[in-house]
Amino acid sequence: MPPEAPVIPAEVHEYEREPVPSSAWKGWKSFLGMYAGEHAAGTEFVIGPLFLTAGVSAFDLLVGLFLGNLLAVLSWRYITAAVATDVRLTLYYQLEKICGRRLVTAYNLANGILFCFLAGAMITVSATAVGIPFDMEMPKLTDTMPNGITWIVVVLAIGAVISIIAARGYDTVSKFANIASPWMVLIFLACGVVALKGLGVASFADFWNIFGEGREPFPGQIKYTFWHVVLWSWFCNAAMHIGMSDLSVFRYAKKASSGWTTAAGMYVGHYLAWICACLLYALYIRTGDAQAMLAAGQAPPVAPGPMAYQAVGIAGLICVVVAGWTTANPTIYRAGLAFQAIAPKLSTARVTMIAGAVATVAGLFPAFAMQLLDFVAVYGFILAPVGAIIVFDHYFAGSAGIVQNYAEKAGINFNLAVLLAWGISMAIFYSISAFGGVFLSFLTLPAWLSCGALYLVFSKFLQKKI
Amino acid sequence: MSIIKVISYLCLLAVLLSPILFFADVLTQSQMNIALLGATVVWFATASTWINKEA
Repeated sequence: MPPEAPVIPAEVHEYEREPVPSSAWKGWKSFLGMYAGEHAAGTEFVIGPLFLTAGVSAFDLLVGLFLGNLLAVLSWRYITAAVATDVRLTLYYQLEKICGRRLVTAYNLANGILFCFLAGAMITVSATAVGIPFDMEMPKLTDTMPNGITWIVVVLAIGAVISIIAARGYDTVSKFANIASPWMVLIFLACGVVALKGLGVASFADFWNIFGEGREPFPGQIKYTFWHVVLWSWFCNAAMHIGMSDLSVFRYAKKASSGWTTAAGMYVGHYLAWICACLLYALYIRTGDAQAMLAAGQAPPVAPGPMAYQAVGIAGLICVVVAGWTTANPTIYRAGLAFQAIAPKLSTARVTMIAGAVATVAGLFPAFAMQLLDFVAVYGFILAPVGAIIVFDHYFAGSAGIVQNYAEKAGINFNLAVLLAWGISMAIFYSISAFGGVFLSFLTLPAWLSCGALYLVFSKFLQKKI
Repeated sequence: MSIIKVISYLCLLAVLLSPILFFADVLTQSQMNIALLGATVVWFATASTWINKEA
């Protein structure tokens, strides 16, 4: 847990249970900074290398990431931002209108906890940088538990600072990201350029040959093809775009076209930064230590702090820490909103501090960061179908002949149609993945569509006349 | 444009150019690292005074 509760603003008004008034709407620049900062993050230092451990080819990585990120941007623009600027409510309040308070409480709890785990992975990444001056032992790819007292102290300190910043509200988060993001992107680029020199790249052909036609995945990893890369990169933020979590962000947007600003996050963070981090790891695995581990049948560790330090020195360490913060901040803020929907009498600042404490505890366990590809796929798969309920209710309620925002209008606390749609689609598609061995990200879209369609069907039969 | 803002942009330029100059064998790695750290410190010191006032 973080140290003593800090002094935080008594009340940060965030329009949690009312539409955001036009006086509080923000221009696209505000979102540009936030998305560029959030997606050029500490976890990119882990995700890039993990693609290499999955044996991707040059074409799969470069073209697959381009296409997957394009699909993600389109999802944000034409689904999330479009609905957000219509309703201007948080995800949690909008869901409450459709699902009823009791059902949405369970969803909020799951959502908030998953966000905290994700933020915890970012704290873990930052800790690999902060721990270097203290000669801290770095976690291995297979580690799940804290590996020493230095690790615990470093994670607690980082978690406390991140939580305090997040507790000060969206404006503070946005300001922090605005300052850090242009510099951070250039440091990512610097890491890539330095790695290219270390890898002896003098032409595009040399660069292409680093990945070539792909290779066997590292021990314990699965092989990624073109479609693995496309669908994973599309749905790694599924909870935020088709899962509609970013309703809470885009409700402040003047226009739905602000959704295009997510391209800054995707192509800078999820393209350039992933590839730069991948190059850093490609350089690392040529070292004697890494080759010895591979020869022994082990996967070399992915430690962002030491990798960035080797490439660009102390500026690289600062980048890893700051990159962790800029992602953890909005993630903890979102988790705080989720918890606030459960306990609306608590201030945003206070629930964000609670979310920060949970994230800090999660950050103590390196498993969330070291198995990030798997965790992110599961997280998107669980949360995304609930977004389909909002989208289908918003666009198709009239044509399907059902009542929009039924729980609010009927005065019920529990909308059974939502639970059945979510539960059945999840159970069917997760079973296909678990028992049929299908990559989970391949099933996120089918689960989303079936959840929305089932919601309309069940609502048709279960809704009573109002 | 204020002098502070010019300094901020020069810092970003330094962060961009340092690794390129290292790649071209104009700078050594330690010179590049010092340039990056210096530009980082000055960027945060100067950008925090103006960047959010424009957003």
